[in-house]
Amino acid sequence: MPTGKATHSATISAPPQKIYDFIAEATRATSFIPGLSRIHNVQPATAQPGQTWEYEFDWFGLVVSGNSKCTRSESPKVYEFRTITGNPSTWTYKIEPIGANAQVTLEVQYEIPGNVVARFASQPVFEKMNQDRAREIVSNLKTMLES
Amino acid sequence: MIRLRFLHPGRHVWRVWRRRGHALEERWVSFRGVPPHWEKIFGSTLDLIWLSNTPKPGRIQLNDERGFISWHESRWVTRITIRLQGFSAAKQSLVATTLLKAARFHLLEEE
Repeated sequence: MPTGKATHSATISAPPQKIYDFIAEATRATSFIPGLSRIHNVQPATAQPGQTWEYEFDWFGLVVSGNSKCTRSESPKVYEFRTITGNPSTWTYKIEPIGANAQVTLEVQYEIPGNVVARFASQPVFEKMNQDRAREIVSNLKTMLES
Repeated sequence: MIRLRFLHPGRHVWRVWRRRGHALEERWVSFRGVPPHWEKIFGSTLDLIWLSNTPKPGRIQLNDERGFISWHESRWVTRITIRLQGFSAAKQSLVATTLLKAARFHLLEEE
């Protein structure tokens, strides 16, 4: 199956630890990931490799639910998880200090589902949608942490 | 296994009105049987996104004059009003959306 990657970076006027703490609480993701409706059944409560949770995602009115698993939690530098049902994807947040602030990079690696591409969009359109989504997520993080 | 659904049972809270000026104001209605614990739903959500707040009967006041969320119960319907101010317009929208998600989806765990 073909794979794709969406990446976006931004400088956020907040210390790396604050940014990491905001991102690494799984249930908080509904506040900055568009379309993510609910995170529940987070076990254990604190971020660590092996932590799992269930998610529900609203994709243009279609509810997609599945499971995710934290794969890296290196406070305050890297937080990563994988969706382990549906189309596999790996979400990596990298936080690099810039003075008192930080550069945040979100990289999402995903498999491109042929059936979805065939039904809804060409592959370039699907990839652009994911790139736009990554940009929106980082922008929302910046908004939540700065203003 | 991934699951797909066309209609989500959480969709019984609806945004019915919105006004944006220097503050964002919204009204929602929730059609429900037993009223859920709104104070717990909204208070825990505001705590989660680091917005300090003070609960009062029928409402939660955001500290530092950032606004409020209030609810009024009738037999089958809850009318909810939110007002957010003192943030950027973008953050007002994100906070409102986060609260609406909480109203819709926390209900499922209380039922």
